[in-house]
Amino acid sequence: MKKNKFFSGALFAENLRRFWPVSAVGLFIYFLSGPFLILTKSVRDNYMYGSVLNGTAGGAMLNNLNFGFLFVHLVLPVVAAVCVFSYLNRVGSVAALHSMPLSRRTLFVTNYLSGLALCVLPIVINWALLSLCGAGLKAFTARALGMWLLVSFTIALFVFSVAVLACIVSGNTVIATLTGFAFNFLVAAVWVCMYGYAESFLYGFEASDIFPQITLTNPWMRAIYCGFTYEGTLRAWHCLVYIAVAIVIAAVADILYHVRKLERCGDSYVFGWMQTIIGFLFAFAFSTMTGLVLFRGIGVWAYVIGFAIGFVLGQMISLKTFHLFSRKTLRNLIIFAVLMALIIGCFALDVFGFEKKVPDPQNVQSVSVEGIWTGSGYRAVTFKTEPSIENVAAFHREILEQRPDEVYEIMPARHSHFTLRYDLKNGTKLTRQYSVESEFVARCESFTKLLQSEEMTGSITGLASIQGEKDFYATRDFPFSLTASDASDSRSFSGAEGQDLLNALINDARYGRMTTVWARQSLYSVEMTVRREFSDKAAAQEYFSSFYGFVNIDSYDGQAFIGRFSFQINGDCKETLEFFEKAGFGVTAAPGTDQLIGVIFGSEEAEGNHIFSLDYIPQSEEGMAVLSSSDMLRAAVEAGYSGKVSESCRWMSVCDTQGGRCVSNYTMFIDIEKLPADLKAAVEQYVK
Amino acid sequence: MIRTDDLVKSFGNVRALDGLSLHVEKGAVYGLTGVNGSGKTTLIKHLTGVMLPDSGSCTIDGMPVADNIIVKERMAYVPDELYFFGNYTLSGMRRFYKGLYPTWSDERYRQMAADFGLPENSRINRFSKGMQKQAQFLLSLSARPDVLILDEPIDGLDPIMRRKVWGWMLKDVADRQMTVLVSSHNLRELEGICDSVGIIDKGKLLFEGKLDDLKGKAAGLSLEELFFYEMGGEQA
Repeated sequence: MKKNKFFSGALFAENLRRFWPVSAVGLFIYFLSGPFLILTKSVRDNYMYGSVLNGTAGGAMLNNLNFGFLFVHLVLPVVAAVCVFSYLNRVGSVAALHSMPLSRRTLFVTNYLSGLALCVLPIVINWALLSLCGAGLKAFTARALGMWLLVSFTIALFVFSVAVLACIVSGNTVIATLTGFAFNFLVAAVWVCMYGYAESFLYGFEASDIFPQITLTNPWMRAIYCGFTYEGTLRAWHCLVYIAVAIVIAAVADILYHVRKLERCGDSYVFGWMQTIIGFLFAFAFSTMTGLVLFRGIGVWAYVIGFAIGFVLGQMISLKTFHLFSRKTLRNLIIFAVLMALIIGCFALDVFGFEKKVPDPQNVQSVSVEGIWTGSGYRAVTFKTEPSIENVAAFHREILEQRPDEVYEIMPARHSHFTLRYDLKNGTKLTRQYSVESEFVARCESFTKLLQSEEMTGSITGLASIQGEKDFYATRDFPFSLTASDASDSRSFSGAEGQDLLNALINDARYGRMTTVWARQSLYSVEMTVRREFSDKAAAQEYFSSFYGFVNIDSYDGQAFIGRFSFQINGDCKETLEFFEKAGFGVTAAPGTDQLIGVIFGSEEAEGNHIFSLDYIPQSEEGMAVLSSSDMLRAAVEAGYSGKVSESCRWMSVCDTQGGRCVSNYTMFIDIEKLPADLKAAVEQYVK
Repeated sequence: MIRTDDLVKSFGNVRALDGLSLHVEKGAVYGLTGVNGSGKTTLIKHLTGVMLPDSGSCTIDGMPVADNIIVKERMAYVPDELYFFGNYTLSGMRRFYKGLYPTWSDERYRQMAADFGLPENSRINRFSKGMQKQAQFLLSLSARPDVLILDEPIDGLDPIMRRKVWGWMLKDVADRQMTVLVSSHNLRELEGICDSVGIIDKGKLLFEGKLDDLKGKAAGLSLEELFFYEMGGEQA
């Protein structure tokens, strides 16, 4: 006959009596970071108050963007778990507590609940204090406070449950504490490693979304991510999912507690399989770190060295000995090495066919291509028609055909990024990201067709009819002060003049002249601002997005929404250049003063060494040609305006020399093959 | 009352208990002895439900000990390695024991505390080893258990205190038929208080019987002589 008892009031009360200082410290930090900051007028008046409250109810503090809150949310649950389960780590305490009228379930549930209470009590008290302070200052809404309580509880519960699991599988306090923290970030860390491998070995792997995805693995990280993004704080349903996961983790910990061999207290890990897992994780982590960092330099040895270090460390820690020469360690070494080889091999050999996967256009609903289209930065254009989808797929295949031998060295000097996001008809998505040479894109037939596609031309021409107050702000990309003396660097256009400029821009864009911007020296940047009243943001978004697919809503000025769209103008944009010429805002390639010099660098390394540090007037030397006469500089600037990107392109820094040093340093891209013969010969004495 | 059948427990390659079967009758004071590493403490940790056997069973009054609150509410354990909550006083531990044991007796606690003269409001971890042992006896016997299990209980106790401790314990045996299993190397002490003994070696019980029977069968051998005889020593 057995008596089922899940909870012991006596043990619960004693745990609270014994470990209340842990809660008290947590509460003290909460108080200093929250209510105290609000109540202290001297603090409230300085910048900290602004950063804490963010000026609005439910601001940064309630989004947990507060160092004190974040610290306690993470540290208190781990410390509380280690405290309440520390009896498992000593022979005397294990014997004493397990011989008392407490079943393992009673011990687990009671200790779990008392540890959780130690974490939650400071949160509840802090919430009450914040409510009182907030009510007085009208700083927070009840809803925002309620969400803070829910989110904070969720984080505490999750981090605590994971730490409890760590305490159950480990056998001494130091390892339990370290594991308590490590387990909370274990999934994220393994995820990052896998991303690292994929990025290093798989051509086209897109890792830009890694952070939002990885933060999902832990509510503490997710809260930080949400706080720093528009999301503000975790949603209620996020919390429910995390709470459910935490309960599952606690249940697993309870099961493990039932099978835990108490005689192994004091060992690093009390389950044999934990030693294997921890040992492998050490080898994997070190091998990954050294491999990803040093692979370019020393090849596969980078993985081997890291593996060896991680293996030895992992075995020492898990076995608690320096004597590693045993049959068991040799067995582990062989198993781990094979596993690591399998992991690296899977990525290096692309056994799952990741790279070669190009969707059949028949199966694609739509595809979004993010890249530089009009020079307005990286924007996505969505293609839905069959011919366009086929062109994207063809472009995708052409990119794959020019795959470099080694993925990790794919960043060409003159490159452009493209991200292809396919929405497939079966509901799945496929995303690839490539860095390709600008020259390749310029000669890519499928890409040219894409530029002339119905989606692109239709959207561009539609811009002519965009309604609202339109203003244009044009800037010479090559600063005026270095080119002429009687005009300004920027100018605004509006009304009829603005409409003429828009028509010129549209004509250049529709014939694809502007799209070669990433292969050309930019002459102007033009930003179009459209101001129009809408009933709400959704209506504004819908209207603006119908033009070219990516007019962004920039702001709301209290009456109207403002959309922005920008163009980059190169030497091919004939109509726009003619417009500027007629408007008296033309480009001149005539440097107007002898103070100007041009410095052409022979290599990227030379650029890196000099481009930002010309605090002296340089002289020609190996790898660096200095153009000090006005004629030479003018010819170089003209070559920069007209030349396209090629292997013979170099950066030229144009400096205004005053007081024995370069000021107003500005760089442009020039093709030395396009330079006049005498100038080219002069330059090539120093720059090959 | 206390019974183990074919109890087996291994730690890695070491077989600490090797099919051990033991029987202790109700109201008996059973002395368990054996050389170092013979498996006494391992056996006791199975009897108190701290360890789980690889095979075999361990029961008290026919009920399994492991994870059984009903059995453990009637059992108290004085371990060799004592444990008290950090910074706790005797009265703090009293509160905890009182909350756990339904048979706890405040009267017994007061009587024993007065007899032992232990300071109730000083931290136990500042007590001497002997005083800590007294405190553990005080707490265990105040729980009024039906079964008392003692592992090297008299280590650190002076002769006067030993007599007091045995006195309180034997009073409960006489008054309430409390069953006691006591593990010790001190054979003379065991001979003085036990009515049954078991000699254990390499995880097996070499001898189990009543001391009275022993005197009859073994022609007046003392327990010490019997021990050496069973262990194969020349002194037997």
